[in-house]
Amino acid sequence: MLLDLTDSQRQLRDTAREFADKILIPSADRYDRLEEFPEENIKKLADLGFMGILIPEEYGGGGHDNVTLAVAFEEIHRGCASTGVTLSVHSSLLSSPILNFGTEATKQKYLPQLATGESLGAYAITEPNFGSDAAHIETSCVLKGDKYIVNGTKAWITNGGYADVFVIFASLDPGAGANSMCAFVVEKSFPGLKVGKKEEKLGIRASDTVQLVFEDLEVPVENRLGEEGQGFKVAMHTLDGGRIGIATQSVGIARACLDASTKHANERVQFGKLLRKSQTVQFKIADMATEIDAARLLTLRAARLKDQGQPHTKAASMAKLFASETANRAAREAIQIHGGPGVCRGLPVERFFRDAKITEIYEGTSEVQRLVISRHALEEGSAP
Amino acid sequence: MIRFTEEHLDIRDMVASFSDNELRPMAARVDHGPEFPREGLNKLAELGILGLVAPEEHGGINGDLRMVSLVLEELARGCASTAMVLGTHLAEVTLALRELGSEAQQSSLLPRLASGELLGSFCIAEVDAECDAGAIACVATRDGDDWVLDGVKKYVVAGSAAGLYLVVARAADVPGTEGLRLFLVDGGAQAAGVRIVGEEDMLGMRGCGIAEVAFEECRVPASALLGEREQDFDAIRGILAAGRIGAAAIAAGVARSSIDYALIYAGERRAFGRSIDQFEAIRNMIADGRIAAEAGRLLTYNAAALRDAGSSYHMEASMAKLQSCEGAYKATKSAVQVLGGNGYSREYPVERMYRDAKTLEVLEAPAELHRRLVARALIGDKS
Repeated sequence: MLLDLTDSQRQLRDTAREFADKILIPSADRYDRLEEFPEENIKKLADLGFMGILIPEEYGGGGHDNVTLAVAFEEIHRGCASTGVTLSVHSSLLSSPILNFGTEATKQKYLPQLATGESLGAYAITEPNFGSDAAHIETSCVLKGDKYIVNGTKAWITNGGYADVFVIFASLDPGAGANSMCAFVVEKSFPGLKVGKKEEKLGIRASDTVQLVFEDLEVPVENRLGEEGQGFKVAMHTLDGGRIGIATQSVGIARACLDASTKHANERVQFGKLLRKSQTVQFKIADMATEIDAARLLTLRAARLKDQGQPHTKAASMAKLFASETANRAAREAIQIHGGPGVCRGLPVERFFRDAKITEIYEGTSEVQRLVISRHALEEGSAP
Repeated sequence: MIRFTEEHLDIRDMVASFSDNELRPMAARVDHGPEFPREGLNKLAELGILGLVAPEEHGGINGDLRMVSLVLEELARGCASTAMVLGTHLAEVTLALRELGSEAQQSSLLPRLASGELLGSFCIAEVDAECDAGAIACVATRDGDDWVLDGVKKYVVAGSAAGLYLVVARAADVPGTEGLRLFLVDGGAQAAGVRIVGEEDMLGMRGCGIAEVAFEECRVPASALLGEREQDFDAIRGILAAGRIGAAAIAAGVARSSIDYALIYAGERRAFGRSIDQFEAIRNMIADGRIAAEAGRLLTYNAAALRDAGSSYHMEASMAKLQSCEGAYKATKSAVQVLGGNGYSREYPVERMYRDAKTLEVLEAPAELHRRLVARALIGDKS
């Protein structure tokens, strides 16, 4: 790999790798079938210190960088993408807005409990009618005394039913666009927060995805992140990290597909010879392996740029776009290599196929990533 | 251009409205259960569709494979699992009996197949002979006047529901495809010596009751043998190819249905101040999906028409199966993408269609086998 990892990065990756092999892979199928939230896995990940991976040490976290997160979480996603996304939302989407836009008191209050995993986080911006077009959300907030009163419905909220702390977005003037948005930290116990219907999904079925309903939800003024009207800025700041997180997930799923395919090709005989002797299969394996390395390199580049404080919006979108499409191609071909058993639920490739599809949709669809990338490329041309 | 008769089009139109009104509303339930679509099949039987290819003297309407293709495509728009069960019944079992059956076999079985009293199912694949018929291990042993079948078949559509199995077994200790023969097991899942090992929990096509079926000293009379010895493997290839044309038609229906849904959704869903069907990228996806569906159905009609005309059609059947299923994958994937997060939700039908399309890429032999068959037809084999 082009990027040399530090001892600490390597160590965390190895810990995650072992955890994936021993704990996640053996239980992933059961969690998927039962659509059961992998609470046990999350507890164990908290014990290993992964829940606070990015949170600075002064707030009780590991103080690691984004490259560490990418190499370690890739292993978690390889083992169980549902556990992975639960962890990813908590780690990438919660700590960053609180750390960058919270007051010192807010940071002191929330970061330590998120870092230890004592509290689980969820991030709520998407609404039933507004996905890609986040600037126009309809959830409203009105300042009354020392509290904001928030009303509206959020959709597709990962961890929503299990979370203790939420970062949510609302508008002072719904429909008016980006400049009227506000971001808040909300606790599960605040009056007016209700968990709505649970989504039944194609894949990542063990992850919790719900609607959240705010009915006169009361949020203390000091829980606002940034200034009034800065909500969109908070959202945009978090976005790139979230995309690196999903690129990481995609690489993990794609690797699981390659591992299953090589195992099968080394064991299965068809038309009198091992599948690995078939050029058709060889070329599929070659493409998967090449695309996975390319996807990982794009992902680590984006993570490193973020760590260096350099612009990384285009790099994050490129990583997310390419890695998610890689995961879907790998999953499709893994099923083809497996043939009939590939579409039966006894083998994991069927799950990989269902899980992979979400990576092209959440944290900005592939179409949104292409819009972002083209905006940059049209200005910058091919210059690196 | 493939020509259709008035009769073709009349039946297509009747089935199309049946599919919209009767099958579509139950498709999610059939998938989710999964639930075998007996209710839909019973209604199709009342409409005479289960007798689509049976000769008139045996209670059918003697339809050809073009008619079967049109019907399966339309039914698959509503519920692909129902179409798949019917495809096996019509294009594989009933057609094989019409083409290969003796007078006695026909008069005993065709009227019952045509009325829907018997559902037909084709048993060929095995765990180590998924699409390589030469590796089939299921044996048929002669015992006096009877035959005794032993072996386990995989991926049997409507395995538990079928009242008649058409089974490929090795009748002589001859390796390769030469010893293979066709047997009719009247009673199907209920016949003595037949055991349903289990039903598969599938990614898609979940309602078609795909089962593993064990034949354990399953005794059938001499009259259960279908077809002449000399032509057996050609006959088996013919049944497989007809089944593949059926699967290609189903894939074309799934592709159309997903794009039709995405089209309506994109017209209603708004983002950035306009309906999303006004974005070029979305329009391109819808156009490409429809092109893929159209290419699939035209290749399907072409293969069906060649078979109906008695021309060579095996290569074309593989082309149709490959292209139509890959097209359906592409179309349904685009449809999911157009719906965004909702496309990933089981509340919307494109999620099911995406799983069905991916499963169809593997059922009735995966793309890799069809590519191999097309290449063999073009280049031949050198040993």
